[in-house]
Amino acid sequence: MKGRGAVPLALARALRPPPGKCYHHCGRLVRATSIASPLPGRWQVYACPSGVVSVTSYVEWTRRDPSAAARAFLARRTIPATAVRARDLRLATRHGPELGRPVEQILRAAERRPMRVVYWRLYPFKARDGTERRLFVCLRRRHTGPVFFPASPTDGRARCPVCAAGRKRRARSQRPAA
Amino acid sequence: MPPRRSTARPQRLTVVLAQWCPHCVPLSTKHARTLARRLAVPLRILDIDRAGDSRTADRMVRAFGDASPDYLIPQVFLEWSDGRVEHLLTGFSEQVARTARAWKDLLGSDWLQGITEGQVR
Repeated sequence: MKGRGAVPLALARALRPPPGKCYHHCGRLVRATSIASPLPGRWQVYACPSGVVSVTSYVEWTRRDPSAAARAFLARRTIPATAVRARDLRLATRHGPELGRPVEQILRAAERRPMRVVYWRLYPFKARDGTERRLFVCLRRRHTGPVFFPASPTDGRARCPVCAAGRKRRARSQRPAA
Repeated sequence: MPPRRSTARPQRLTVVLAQWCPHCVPLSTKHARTLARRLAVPLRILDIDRAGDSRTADRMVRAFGDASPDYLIPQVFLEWSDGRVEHLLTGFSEQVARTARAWKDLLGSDWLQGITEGQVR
């Protein structure tokens, strides 16, 4: 855990949703993946096996609103950063009674300090050429962290801009000098 | 130490919702009716798409709830006789099933039991 605002596993588990499907895309099960960040709370990305993101959530055990910090982190991990808009970030406070008695007792003992959750949900949208765009995430290990990017739902992870840039760099370095 | 008794009493339960939202109707309207009955208070529904309600709903969410430019619904508030407004629940952004579980937990909570027994919460 990372100090003030950190969320113990028992509390994070209480927020976990039941398994869901990738609606209006592939219908396959959405998987939750934790991502690391310098922020004290916990991140979860809910995405289907093709990388289409249903929702990304950030939870912190705090009274303050962590939306600005969450937005700044997401903007650093998203290409283009302008895809992270304030209107797509939604705040929810979890007080305890709505999370079951064990969690209610933990939060009550902590002077009723609530958990605050920021959800980032980017709904499918139309690009300038009229084609559909959805938010994808690439979680390949060669990244220092996740890369979020909007793309056509038929493109899949192959169009991750960071992976594509890496491939170009490698191809250039392997080309024999003239 | 047992919780002390309070003179403040619950006055009104308010739910901010939209008719098209599956987390709101019928799920939250049904559970809110149950909660209001248990608290012995009237239930007020504020529909964000109804001109007369939306301004009050926005004001409540901004002042006491989870405000965002496009805020989550439903949001549930309990008004007390001493003027306090307590934010109780915001819908989960994941599936409707998760919001349903939250309602079930709220209705079975120590918090609700304490209020119905007249303890300070």
